[in-house]
Parts: sequence; structure tokens; C-alpha cells
Amino acid sequence: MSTEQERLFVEFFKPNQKLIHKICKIYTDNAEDHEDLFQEITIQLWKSFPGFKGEAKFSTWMYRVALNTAITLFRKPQKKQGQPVELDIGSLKIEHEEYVDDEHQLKRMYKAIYELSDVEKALIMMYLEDKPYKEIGEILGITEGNARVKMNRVKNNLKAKISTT
Amino acid sequence: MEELELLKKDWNKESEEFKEYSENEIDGMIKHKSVSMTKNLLIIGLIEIVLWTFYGYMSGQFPYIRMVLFFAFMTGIIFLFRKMTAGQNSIALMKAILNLRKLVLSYACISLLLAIVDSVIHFEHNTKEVMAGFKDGWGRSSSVENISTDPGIMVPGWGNYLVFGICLLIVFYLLYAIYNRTYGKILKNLRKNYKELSLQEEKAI
Repeated sequence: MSTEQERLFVEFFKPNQKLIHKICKIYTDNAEDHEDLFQEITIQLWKSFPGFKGEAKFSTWMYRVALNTAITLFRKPQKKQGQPVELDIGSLKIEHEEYVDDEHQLKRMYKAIYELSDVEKALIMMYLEDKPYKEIGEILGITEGNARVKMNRVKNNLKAKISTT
Repeated sequence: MEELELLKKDWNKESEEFKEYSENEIDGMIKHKSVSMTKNLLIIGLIEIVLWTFYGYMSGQFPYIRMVLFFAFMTGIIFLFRKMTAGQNSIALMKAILNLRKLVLSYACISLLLAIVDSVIHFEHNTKEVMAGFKDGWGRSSSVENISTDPGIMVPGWGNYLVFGICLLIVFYLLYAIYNRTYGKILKNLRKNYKELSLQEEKAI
């Protein structure tokens, strides 16, 4: 690939780093895996960059590649079943000192999110990012109506998990 | 759902917790090699294809069939691998990966089946071969001239058949265990995700 393309890629990529960090945060539970996934997503974005024709927004395309990498292309050995999920508290630092209740509730919610399936995590993340259902459907390869149905199901599932944590 | 609104607020707040990579660091990152699962799958598949073809060549039983199989599957694998890009939607990408897996597994199963059929057809001959080889290896000493025993003169008893049969079963079980370790675990979650995404779609149709 040409240097010009490299420059263009970095130019597009740089302001969108936070989005990738967020995806890494939701799919990994420690700093090392976070960094590995970040790097793999960056490589996949770079490899797919020549195919980006500008038909969708760069961030939508980036979302698709990043989520595909997290839920299909990049797999770390799973933790043994029954082993409790140990969260890296540093990566989930919540700066709500004055709202202890909120902080506690948020921690429970993040813990519940970690227990969701890969696809459910993707859906919740897109909900948190306020992505329209049409775009969610495009990213995942399902219809808009189906995205809506799935989202409701995931929200209910998350709610059930939060109440049991 | 109030809790989700609270989560959304926290999720979207400006945070300094994430490292901001510089242009040089990004540049360095894209020069790294990918550890993508598809790539690993392709490498495992290719190693397997080469090993089976080598086995076919060494045993001299099915060289032509194996060669035709080898080239047909190589073409299929390269075609599917090139078709795959991370820019596809998730369901299309997962489908492509599962197709790649199906192709590699089909090849492995056909190869395994050929090996089993070969072992059954030539069971008596192979037992005699092993007995002759065992006899040569066991009785050899530096003072004795190196003359190989003719497997045709060996007369295996039921015990020999039994031991050889058990050894074969162990080898086949080991092969199965290797498949399970290499493909099984990697693709279990992927298949689950694909089903999760596609099930509703099928219902909608």
C-alpha cells in the first residue's frame, strides 16, 4: 500500500480511537487483552481500508470491522466455566464519587454486560452509542425489524442479569 | 429502563482513561502481523492437507485420489479466504468462516475415511507388516546381516489382530482429539454467534 494511503488511513483513524477502545473495553477484561484486541482491530481496519468506498460513514464502516474482529476474527481462550469474572477495576473506573449508589449500580451493570454473549454485547454497545436500528442491522447483517426485536430481548436479558448480580 | 439510561450517560461521558495513540504508534501497529482466527484456521487447514497428502504419498494407497482432492480443496480454500473481508457484515463474515471450516473439515473427514477404509481393507496385510517390522527391529544385532523379514510368511494369531486393531483405534481417537482441539474449541463460540444472529432471520422469512 502506498504511503499516501497510509497517511489517509491514520488521518481517518486517529480521531476515532475512542470508539475502538470502547469495543475493546466491552470485549476484554484486562489491560493486556485490551491492547491485543486494539492492535488486531487496527490491523484489520488497515487491511480492509482499500475496500472502504465511502458509501457508509467512516465510523459506521469502522464499527463493522471492529465488531467483526471482536466477535469473529479474534478469539482468546475462554475462561473456565464457573470461574468468576474478575474485572480490572482500573479499566472500569467510574468517576462518580458523589453518587455512591450510581457507582454501585454501574459496576453491577458492567459486570452483567461481561456475562452477555458476544452478539448481545455488540447490540448493547450500539444501543449505548445511540446507533439507529437501520445501522445496527447493516453492521450485523440482519433486518432493521430483527435488530429491534433482538435489542429488546438483550435489554430484558441484561435487566434480568442485573437483578441477580 | 432507568438503569440503561444511567449506563448510557456513563458510557458517553468524556473520559481520559483510554490511551491516545500517536501517528507513529498507529503506523507501527499496522506493520504488525495479524493473529486473526481465520488466518490460524487457514494455516491449520493447510498443514493438515499437506500432512494427509504426505501420508497418502507415503502409504502409496490412494495417491491419485488424494492429489485430486488436494488441488480441489486448495482451490476452494484460497477462493473462500480471498472472499473474506472484515468489512462485510457480521453474519456474512461468520458464514464465510463457517464455510471455510466446513471445507477444511470435509477434506479432513474424507482423508480420515480413506485412512480407515484403507486400514480395514489391508488390515491383514498391515498386521503382517507390523509383525515383520517388529520381528526385524526386535531381533536385530550388529553381528547379524541386515535381511528384512517377508511379511507374507508371518502368520498372525487373534492376539496380533487384537493388539493391532486396538493400536489403530487409539490412532484414530488421537486424530479425532486433535481435530477437536484445533477446530472444535475455536469455532464453537463462532457457531453459537452465527446461530444467534441467523435464527431470527430464518423465522422472519
